[in-house]
Parts: sequence; structure tokens; C-alpha cells
Amino acid sequence: MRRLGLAHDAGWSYSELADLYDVLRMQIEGACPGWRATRVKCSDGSHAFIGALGPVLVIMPDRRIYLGQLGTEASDGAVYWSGLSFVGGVVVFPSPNPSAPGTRQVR
Amino acid sequence: MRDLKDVERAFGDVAVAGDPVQRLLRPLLLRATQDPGLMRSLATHSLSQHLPFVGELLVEGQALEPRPLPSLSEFLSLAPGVEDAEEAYEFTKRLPATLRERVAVQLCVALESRALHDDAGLSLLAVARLLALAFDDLPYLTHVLAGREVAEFPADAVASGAPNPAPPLAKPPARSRRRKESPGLFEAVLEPEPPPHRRKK
Repeated sequence: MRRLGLAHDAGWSYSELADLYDVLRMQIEGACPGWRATRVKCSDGSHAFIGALGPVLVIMPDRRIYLGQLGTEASDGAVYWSGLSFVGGVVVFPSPNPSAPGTRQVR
Repeated sequence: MRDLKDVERAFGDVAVAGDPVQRLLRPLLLRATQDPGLMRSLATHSLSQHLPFVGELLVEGQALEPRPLPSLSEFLSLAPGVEDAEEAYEFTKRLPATLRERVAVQLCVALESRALHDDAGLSLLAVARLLALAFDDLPYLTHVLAGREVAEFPADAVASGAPNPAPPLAKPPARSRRRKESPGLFEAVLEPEPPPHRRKK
């Protein structure tokens, strides 16, 4: 998270931030068998990383970064599974909700 | 048309599952939704139905030793009436050896289940793909099945007990024209200069 924050402050674009986190994620996964996060896309173009226990990291197109939870609907999760769509052969999540309970902006 | 309500149902089912099933199946479900081949296999089948079936195979078969894929005729003799048995066999045959042997043993166990023979709507090919996806991340699978703790995400690696990741020294994750115009991205992370105003839009 610290490195992600530094990259954010250095002006990286949102997709570059997501790619950076993906690289760091793979490093951590390689070293820590019990730490997993899966990268998904949201319909507004946001990138989200969803942890095995349900927490999420969201990187939005305007470069805002949020930490929250996976929920059923927008009212209970920053990323949620009601209203999924199917694009390019994969499942895409609805636009994230930064106002969901338990969500905080980190950048 | 794909039944996305069924995918939503799968997420809901995982959310209320107990451990270790939830920890096992949430990453598997997420990865499944991002796998075009698997989603294609499941086009007319139910992900929410296949996921717990595969979860059960993984939990109950954790002590099984990998074994070579039997011959096609032997395999098909285990799968009378299973519509896509040959496709599942061909898919498994193409997997790398270590993955293939793990999937093979579980598929043979799956074929002993009545669920695959009872016209319950299960696809053996989808089961094979889900098993391959699960075994593709063997360290996590073994970790969870052994009952070990799953680390917090996305807390800082140090805080979560994971080693602090080294800064990637190789090329940046993706090349872009824009990147060439800006200071090296990884250098920027290590020594964050604030040049956003100098970056070309």
C-alpha cells in the first residue's frame, strides 16, 4: 500500500497504478501462500483487487484509491456482485460505490 | 444468454459458506469469472452448482495422490452417459503433467458421484476446468486445506506477516508511450518526485 501511495503521489495513471499493484500482488502471493487477491474490472473502468477474505482495493479512473469490502449490493460493499455484466468473455463488476459503509479513501 | 444471476448466486453462496470452503472457493470463484475459457464452458451450465461440487471434491480428496490420466477408452468407460466426458478428457490431457495428474485423479473421483450421472446439469468439462484453476494455485489450496490462516488483504505486507515485496526491478508492468515521457515508474516509486504537472496529458 505504501508503494502504491508513493506511485500515486508521483502522478502515475490509474491503469499504471493497477498494473503496479498487480506486480506487487504477485510478489506477495509468491512469498505468502495464505495471501491472495484477484484482479477484476468494474463497468466504469475501475480496477479492483478482491482478497480471499472479502476486503477490496479499488483504483478508480480518476485515480482515487479506496479500501472497502465486497458486498451484495452497492449499499453494503465498495465492490458488489449485484448487477454483474459480461464483457469480452469475462465477468465485470458494477461501478464501485465509494460511499458504501466501511469504505475509506486512501488516496 | 449467460445467466449472470447464477454467477451472483454463486457469490452469495460463497459468502455464507463456512470455513474452509469460503476461503477456498472465493478466490476460485473470482478467478473463474475472469477466465474466458471457463466461462465459455459454463455458458449453458450453472456456476453456482459446479462450485460447491468442486469444493467438495477438493476438501474430500485432499489426501489423494496425483495419478496419470487413464486411456481415453478407460476414462469413457467410467463416464457412461456423461455428455462432455471426451471434451473433459481432451482438456485434461493438454494440461501440464503435474496439473494433469492432480486433475485426473479428481475427475475419476467425480465420475463416481451420482451427481454427474443423474442428469443434474453438471458439465464434466467445467468441473475439469475448475479443478485445473484450483490446482494451478497449489500453494494456496494446500495452505487452506491444511487449516492455516489466510492473511489479511490488502494490509501492508509487513503487517500481514508477508515479506515486504521488493520493488520490481524488471520493466514496468506495461509499456506505454506515456511512460517513456515520464520518469521511470519504478524509480518514481522508490524516489517519488512530484512531476505530474510535467507529465504530458
